[in-house]
Amino acid sequence: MFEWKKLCSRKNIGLVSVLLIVNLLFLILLTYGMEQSEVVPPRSYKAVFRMMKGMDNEEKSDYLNRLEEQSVHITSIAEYKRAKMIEDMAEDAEKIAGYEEHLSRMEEELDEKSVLNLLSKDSEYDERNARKKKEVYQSLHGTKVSYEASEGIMVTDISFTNIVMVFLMILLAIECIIQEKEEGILPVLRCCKKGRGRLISQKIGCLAVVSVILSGIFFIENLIFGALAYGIGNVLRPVQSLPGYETASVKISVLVFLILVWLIRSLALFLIGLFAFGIAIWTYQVGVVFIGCLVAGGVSGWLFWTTEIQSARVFFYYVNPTALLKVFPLLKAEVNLNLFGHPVSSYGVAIPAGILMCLILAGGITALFIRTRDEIRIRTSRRVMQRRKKCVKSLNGEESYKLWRMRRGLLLLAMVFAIQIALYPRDFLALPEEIYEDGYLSYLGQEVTKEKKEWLDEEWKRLNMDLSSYDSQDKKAVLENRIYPLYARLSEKKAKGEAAEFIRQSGYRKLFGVEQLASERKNIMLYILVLILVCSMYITTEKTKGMITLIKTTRCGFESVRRAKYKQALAFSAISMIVVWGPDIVWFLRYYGLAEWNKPISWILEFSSWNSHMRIWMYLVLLWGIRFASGALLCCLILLVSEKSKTTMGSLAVNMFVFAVPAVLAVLGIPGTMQYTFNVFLEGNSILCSGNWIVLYGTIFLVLSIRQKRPVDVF
Amino acid sequence: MIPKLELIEVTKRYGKIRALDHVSLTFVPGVYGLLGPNGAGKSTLMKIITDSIRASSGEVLFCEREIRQWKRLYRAALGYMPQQQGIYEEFTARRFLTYMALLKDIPKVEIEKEIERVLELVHLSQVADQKLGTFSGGMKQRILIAQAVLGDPKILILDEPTAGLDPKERIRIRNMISRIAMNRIVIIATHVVSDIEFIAKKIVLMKKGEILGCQPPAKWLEELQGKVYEIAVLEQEVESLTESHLVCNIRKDEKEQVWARVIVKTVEEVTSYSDYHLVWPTLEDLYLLKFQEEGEAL
Repeated sequence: MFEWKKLCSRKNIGLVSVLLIVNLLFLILLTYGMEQSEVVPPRSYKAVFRMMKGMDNEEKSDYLNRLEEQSVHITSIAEYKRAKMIEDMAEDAEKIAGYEEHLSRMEEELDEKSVLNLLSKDSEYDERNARKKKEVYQSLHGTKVSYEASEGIMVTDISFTNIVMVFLMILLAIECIIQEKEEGILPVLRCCKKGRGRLISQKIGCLAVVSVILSGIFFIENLIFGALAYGIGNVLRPVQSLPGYETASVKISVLVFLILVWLIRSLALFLIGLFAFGIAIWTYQVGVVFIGCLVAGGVSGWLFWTTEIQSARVFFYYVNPTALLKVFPLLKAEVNLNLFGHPVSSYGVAIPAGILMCLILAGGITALFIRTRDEIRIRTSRRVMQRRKKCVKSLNGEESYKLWRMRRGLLLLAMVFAIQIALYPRDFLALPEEIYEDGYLSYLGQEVTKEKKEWLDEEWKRLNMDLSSYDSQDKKAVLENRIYPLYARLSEKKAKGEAAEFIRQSGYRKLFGVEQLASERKNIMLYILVLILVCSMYITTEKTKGMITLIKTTRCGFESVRRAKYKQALAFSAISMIVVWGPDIVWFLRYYGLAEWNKPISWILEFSSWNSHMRIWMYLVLLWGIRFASGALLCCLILLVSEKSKTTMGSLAVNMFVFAVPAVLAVLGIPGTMQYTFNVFLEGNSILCSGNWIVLYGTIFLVLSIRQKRPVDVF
Repeated sequence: MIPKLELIEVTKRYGKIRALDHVSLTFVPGVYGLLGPNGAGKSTLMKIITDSIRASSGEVLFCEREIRQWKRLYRAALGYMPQQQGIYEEFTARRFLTYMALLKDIPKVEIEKEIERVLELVHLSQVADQKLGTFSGGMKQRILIAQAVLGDPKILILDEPTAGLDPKERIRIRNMISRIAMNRIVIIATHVVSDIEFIAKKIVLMKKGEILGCQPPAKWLEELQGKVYEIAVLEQEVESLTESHLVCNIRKDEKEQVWARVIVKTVEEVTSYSDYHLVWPTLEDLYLLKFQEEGEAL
């Protein structure tokens, strides 16, 4: 009961409330505020269902097909999104209207596969698998599916909400134990009669309840939002009525499906909470818990998002905390897993595996907590190993030691460098479009002449004659979208008397963030994480340990320590930037080179409106100037939070939520996270290419810098 | 210049609570013991002296000048050892002292020599390159004393300096303090009365933010002359005795006789007992007498 009360402190309830509001704002922004996002437009969606009220499945399908035929002329993004929505809806409605035929077709496909399997003498497992799938399809005959609004249900699987929940769960798991550790109460508690097994089981029980409640409240929030924005239809209809779940093997209603989603997600949160809790018991540093969780989360996410359903690794796709957290892919049951030669549905393996992992973790944590550590032996061995070391006699040197060694700055940067080297594109193959574009540009040479236009027209005609080849289609697209517009812009310049030449475009597009955005986002995420993990506790430590009392009474006082800390952290931020972006730049220089460094940037299509005096190198100087300044500002903001926070966990939590969560979301491709968060400053290109918005970005940057009121003298 | 520290009518308020109430004290070289129960205002007084917090009213003068006017020079004259201090567990003792020496602005060429000196002083030279995280409580306490005496400060403020030390170390530290206090001000706040009983030049008694007095131990003990007795009692009488008298100590001798050490106002209070004798009063007796209503256990 006491553990429960501790977790339900006013501070934690406040934090959960704030994050619920943040989640709601995000949902509103994602659904209504972003034209570029790929979400289904809610007003159109609801309007279509209003029109289909009272129709049966066949009539709905016919109606949607008619709507699809009508939406031919698309002139805006909104129209495109609506047309795409109608197309998807028509496809889903058709499956539901002809549900029995759809099942029969699936069975036939399965039969054909079985024959092929027999011919290819495949394993016994494949036969069993096909038999099982067929049994599922047969059992689904007669299911009373109905086509109704279901987009609202899909809102319960939003990555942002999942990340917020995981973040909260990790925080609460750490809080379960860290207070006792930091304040030194743990040895006292462990000496009590119920201070070991009973205490730890209470804490674990508390985490289980928290995970159920946390997943419940966020689930309900998203569901209510989804119901209001899109509608969720009749919740008593079979789950097979949902798009993508037509052949789901579970015979349950949508209501039961929703309850299952909540419970399985709670299980995933509990698993994550236990993992964080375990590391928090093992270590004394909050940062280590976050690093551990990030590494584990990274591995889990990587396995989930890179594993093909048909590959041999499919086991890791389903038996994975990320799959358990998302839940939706599990219950689709498109794939059976091979369990000792027997096909078992993915959820039939993943859920028991999740429970088993929780039990193992809980057991491990209990064992870790109740055992008595042999500290004396470790201490003796360390004593023997000690050798006299010369100390650096400067405050900056000491602060540098704290940052690089004590705060694990060196280790983290080494890890990041290893990741970057592992991801280095050794066997990079350019896309066909890029190869065609480069080919055309090298053939055209540098000069922009009318003859070249004639040659391009000839080529266009030739490609039009050869419609059968895919290559021709791609080449046509390149000519239409890249070469012709480039020729037009350069010709305009030439007509105005300015210099104009064809230069290779594709490399600069990558360098200036027009293409290869995933790599840029990954770099930003790594950079922010490194800075947070190293700097967010850099000043707080002095407070929590009470060293500040001692430092304040010395001649130099705390101001000199703070100055030294800022200097070291700023230097670290600059070095980190080089380590994070360095391998990408090396790759760029090796693959593309920078031969046209002194040419005007306006010769690149996307930058054609820029002033012709602006050279490529100048743009690069501007870009990296913005990045280094943003890195320094980010570092100062993190340190400021660290300075203002009373606890290490508070500092880490605030920094993680404000800077790291948007960076992770950007990697996941969530719209808006590259424009409306601090990521935009680190990316730099968006600011430089934002036109008049650059004033706004500049103002925000200045306001943040002035509010800092701290020396930023390194740059 | 002989250091002199003066507190003139210093008051510190936390909202409605008055932690210090018009405190006036003068410190010249020598050891001063600061005695008082929890909440008496000892820590607040030390924080004001170390310039960690500002007094609500009153002045703190060092060598006739307000300490804030001295700025960094005042802090250069200060050596402070706080109570229950956390330290960088991953620093070695030598690195920690180097760090503190740098903060104290000790010239770089002298740092190494100075560190060796203070390590020797607290008997930690053998473990100078060992990480502080591996130190025992007593060793951590000694390293904190070492950092306080780094740079030969003119004012040394020690909060519970001997907490967690074994008797041998306690005596060593006591002697060390006594030795270095010849030409500097040493202010020690403690509950362990024996630590200051024999070395303190003056003892300051504090109660609820007020100064009860500041005088040499002998002067304090004069108040108790002829008032402390040991009386022989039966075991079953102990309970009623503690209710009727101020009992400082109860012991059993080798003949299983129970002796109670009591403070009385007049000798008549003990004459009714079969056996009693007058004993020399100690500071512990004084402490108990002054703070009896605080319910503090000695």
